[in-house]
Amino acid sequence: MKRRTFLAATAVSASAFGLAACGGNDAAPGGSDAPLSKDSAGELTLAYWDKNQTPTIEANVAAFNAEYPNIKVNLSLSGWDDYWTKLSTQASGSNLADVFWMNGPSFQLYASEGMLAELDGMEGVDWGNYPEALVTLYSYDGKHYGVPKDYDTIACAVDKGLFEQAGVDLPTEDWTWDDFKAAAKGVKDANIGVWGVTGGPSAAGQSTYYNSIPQAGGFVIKDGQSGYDDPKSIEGLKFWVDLIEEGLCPSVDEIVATEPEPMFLARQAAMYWVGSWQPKTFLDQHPAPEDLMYLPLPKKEKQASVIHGLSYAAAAGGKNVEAAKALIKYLTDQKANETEAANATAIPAYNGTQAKWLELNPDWDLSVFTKAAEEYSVPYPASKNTSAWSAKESEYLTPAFQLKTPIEEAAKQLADEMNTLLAAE
Amino acid sequence: MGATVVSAGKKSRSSRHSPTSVGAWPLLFVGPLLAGIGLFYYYPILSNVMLSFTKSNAFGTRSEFVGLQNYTELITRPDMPSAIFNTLIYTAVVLLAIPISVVVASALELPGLKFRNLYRVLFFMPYLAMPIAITQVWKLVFNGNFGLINQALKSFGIAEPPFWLSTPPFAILAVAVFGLWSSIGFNVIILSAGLKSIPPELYEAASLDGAGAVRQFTNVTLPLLTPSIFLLTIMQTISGFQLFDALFAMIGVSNPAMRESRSLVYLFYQEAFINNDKGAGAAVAVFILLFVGLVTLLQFIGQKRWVNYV
Repeated sequence: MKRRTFLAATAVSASAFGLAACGGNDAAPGGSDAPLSKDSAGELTLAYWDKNQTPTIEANVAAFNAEYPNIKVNLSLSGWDDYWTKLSTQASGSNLADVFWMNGPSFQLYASEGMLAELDGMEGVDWGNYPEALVTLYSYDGKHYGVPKDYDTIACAVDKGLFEQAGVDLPTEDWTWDDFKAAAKGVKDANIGVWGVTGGPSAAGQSTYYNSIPQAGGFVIKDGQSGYDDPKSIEGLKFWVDLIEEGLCPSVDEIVATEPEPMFLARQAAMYWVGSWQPKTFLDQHPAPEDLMYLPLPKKEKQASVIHGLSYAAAAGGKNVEAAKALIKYLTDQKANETEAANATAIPAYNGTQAKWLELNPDWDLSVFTKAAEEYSVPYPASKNTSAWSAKESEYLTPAFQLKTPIEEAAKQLADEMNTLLAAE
Repeated sequence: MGATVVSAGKKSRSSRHSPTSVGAWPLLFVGPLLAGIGLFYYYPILSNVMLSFTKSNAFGTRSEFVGLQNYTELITRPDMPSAIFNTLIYTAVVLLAIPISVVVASALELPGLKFRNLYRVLFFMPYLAMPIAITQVWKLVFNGNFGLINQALKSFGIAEPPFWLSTPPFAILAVAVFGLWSSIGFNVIILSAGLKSIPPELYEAASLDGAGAVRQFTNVTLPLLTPSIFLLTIMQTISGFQLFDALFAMIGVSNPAMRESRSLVYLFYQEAFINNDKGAGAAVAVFILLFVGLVTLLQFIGQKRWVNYV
């Protein structure tokens, strides 16, 4: 009996804690300051989350290895959700990858906690070559901690084939919210069994209300304050509630069962607000890509599209920060961005390298995405602990999108909760 | 008659004596393993317990001692009762797999069964497949629009079957059904081993005494299988309390049902990795440890009433 008890007790403690604590490795020494040369040897780890971009990264690493043949770069790919759990765990254990992808919502957290190596005065990087909104996004306390790698904006994908089938006139690029709704209604009322619009708000706000809120003249976050109790922000949210209520957009339940992208690919919806990372998928998977076109998002008070972009960052406590910086240079220089453009997964951040991306499909005019970035983009809402309050968005807003609670009430509750969380940062 | 057979299982255990002292030798052999367990299990557990008494930053690098604050916050949070309830519901449903597995395992041992090994492999196979991949298949089964279940219900004339995975009371049950299904393979293997250790003479004796197949099952097989059943109860309870991956994969963070379907471990994930409050996350982990520990203790106390060791 004793043995059994002991074994069971061990199993209990082991299993309950296997998920809680991962042993830390505090052995990471500070960066060695030895100047980097062609003969420098070592190993670097590069962490990222998008499998589709592996070919681009491999090509860039090959360019790096042509200059530094003795530095081995190990690629570490994780899924999106695992990526941040892993990164956070590694940061806690002072065991971060040398070079890794960073996004806007997480940046301030890592920068403020001293996890990122300062990149000012990095050789071979001219910050003027990247969109200012992105350089600013990755600056903290006036210092640079990330070199932009790509950016994305939002536009509306339109299935021309379904419009034709429904006998509804195609919308034009100077459209308003009213035109948008009329078009959706026209398609829905034609009774050809398709939705006017998909892309319901159960997905993250990035391709839905992060755009409609600024379009209505509201904001998500400004000066450390939540904008969700602003009447104009509420109007931006109500835009989606109305679409669902009028049956022009699938319900939350429907969206959970069939996500917007597969629904659009199956030609069950005529319009869909999409990120610039999606046209490549449409080209590969849509049954008739020539039937698609891209329009700027419709306006209300003004035109707006949320811009976000990734950057490459280096771990402050890495074993070889100089080599890591050199690698970042090869991942973000003009040549790297041209490779990125040719592989078409994301719009490259380096000014002037976007041309190749725009040529993805001669049938399409993709310049709506780059024009959005240049002319009317609004920064992606972020603060130091973004994930804490962004998790509350779906928690509070979903019941409203399910038409269970009035949107005004849900938005005000969210604003209160968000302000409490922001105050705790 | 049955009583006679059962008493055969209650062999006296008092004849065992502890070996005479052998000095420090055992420590030499146990030491290396113990050091490993200490380093990789007990040290992290200890530092986790320490962490749970602190308010710390996202990466646990700076922390401030706050006593029991994380625990009081945890116990008073409004979604705590539902997290405990969901975890218990899931565990209870998964435990239902054990009686099912007993029947399956016994059926596999029926004399004269053809392709016995093939069936064994078939039952065990799901256990080898990647759980996350299987959850994706189950998501399709439960899909509200075109899922297998709803298609079947519609063909029986039920016009609007529920969206199982996004309607709160059903969502956690759907995950539990997956948990039940996926634990059967493992249960059957353990129970098959348990069945093999039952001496065939007992069946012989029982049949000489006139016991039929059912009687043999209830009076020989079941009582002698109780150690295996007990082991599985302990293991499945522990794994039930750790519900996270299936929930995360089948329901997902932005699903409207998630708010009411969270498990205890999900609260841990939420605190530690979404809110970046490692201290609060550690407190959840300690709570789970104590909770599982308590339940396991109760099971060990309770087992004296129903487990027969040969």
